[in-house]
Amino acid sequence: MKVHIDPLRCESTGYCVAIDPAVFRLTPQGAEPTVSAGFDPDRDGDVLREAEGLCPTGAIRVIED
Amino acid sequence: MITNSRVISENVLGALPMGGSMTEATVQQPAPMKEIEPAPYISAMTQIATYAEIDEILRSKDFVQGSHQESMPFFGDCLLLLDGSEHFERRRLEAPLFAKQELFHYEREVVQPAIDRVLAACRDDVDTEGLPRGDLVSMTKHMLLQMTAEVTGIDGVDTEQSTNRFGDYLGKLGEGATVEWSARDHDEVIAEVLDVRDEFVLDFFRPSMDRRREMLVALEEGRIAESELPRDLLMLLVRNHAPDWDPELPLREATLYLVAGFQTTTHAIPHVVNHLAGWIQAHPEDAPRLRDQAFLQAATYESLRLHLPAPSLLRIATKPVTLASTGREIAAGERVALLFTPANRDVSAFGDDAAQFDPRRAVTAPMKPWGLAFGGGVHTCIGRQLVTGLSRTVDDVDQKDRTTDGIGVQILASLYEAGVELDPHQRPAYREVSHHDAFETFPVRFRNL
Repeated sequence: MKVHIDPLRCESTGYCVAIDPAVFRLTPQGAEPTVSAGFDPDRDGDVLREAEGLCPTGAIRVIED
Repeated sequence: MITNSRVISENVLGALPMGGSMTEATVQQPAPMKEIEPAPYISAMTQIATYAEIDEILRSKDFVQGSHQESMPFFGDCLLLLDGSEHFERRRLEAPLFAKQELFHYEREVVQPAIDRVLAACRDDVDTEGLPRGDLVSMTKHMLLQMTAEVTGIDGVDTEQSTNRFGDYLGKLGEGATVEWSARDHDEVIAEVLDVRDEFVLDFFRPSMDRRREMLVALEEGRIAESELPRDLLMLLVRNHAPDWDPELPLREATLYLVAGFQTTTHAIPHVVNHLAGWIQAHPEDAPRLRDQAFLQAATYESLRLHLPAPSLLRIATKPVTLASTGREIAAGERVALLFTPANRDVSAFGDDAAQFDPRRAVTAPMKPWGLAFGGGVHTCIGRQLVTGLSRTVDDVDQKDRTTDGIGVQILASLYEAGVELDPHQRPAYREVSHHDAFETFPVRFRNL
């Protein structure tokens, strides 16, 4: 499972961080996942998919393995 | 009577979108852009018209919603008007309506068949040259009615008669929900639309709600499976009804989806076709690109930038604010009108030709090619990806089944495939009963239908 955040679309609305600050964080450049690769689908899958659906700007894309 | 038309030469004809066998013909000139004056409704408010200031306010946590105060009977306490945690939770509840798989479903299984039906119906009305014709405002609306009904959860929009009736209700509900921008007497509009809404409730809304309540009981009793429940707004509201919601809240929430569901795209499509007609006259080398989805997407974004579905949004400062972008001071409790049209034509944001349509315009991050058309910050339009398409990733840029171009591009691709052109015998007309930058009628005809 991978997550891609499109920097052209991210507007730092903070929805992803509000869902789970342990999985996403905001930087001056926008949102980013707290780990760069290797998400655990069992542990993080629901958070990532909800963040993808909730992001108002459509910046988050989750790519299932 | 042919008005505002001209005879065009053979070499220009050769550059027309889908070209016919004509050697000489009349062609309708694109409508000039409408002059947008701020509505009287906001004349006493602080008006903000620069891109940087509006962008900052929309992202700021120091402002709350200030729009739709007159239209509260239609939109009160709906997602659009909430703030803070209440807004976050409502948005979280409704986000699944626009999940990736739902966007694929709407585009491919709902919108495309509707586009094909609407285009086919044009064959019943041909002009003196034997070409099918129609009004693009009405056509676009009818292309989107089924999808709007499906997202919201309104049953029974499945025959020509019921679809027309549903469309009429939505037109009136839209008038009430945007009464602030009406050029008619506002109290008269509100009273009139409340009467129509009562009819809509009896005709469509209540039966749809009742069916979902019955399905929920059936689920709880084990008579149906979870997968049999509809995936729509009304089902979400029935399943998650909060004790503090007043009985009419689901109706007002549904009104938001019904009005917004087709308004942005219906508003945008005639503008895109109008601009592209002028663009191809001036840049005939781009005619083949009318079959190119990326070009149509750029044209859609550019048109959304120039022609906003809402003339203005209002915000109220929760404390004294000094804007970082310009140093402007806004007092606590002050209501400001954000004028999107001049902001989206701001030369400091989009260049010296910001007021011109240019589908080749290069817009670089953090600017959006559509500017402020979908608002910004936490209140960014929840259906934005339905119109703009999904973000592409390096993994799926060439895989059509993993991304979408948005319903605007989808409609335009079908229109240009059918050889759409401005009707040379009838001029487009802007809507005069409101301060919206919208066409009332946009006559077109088709060369390849």
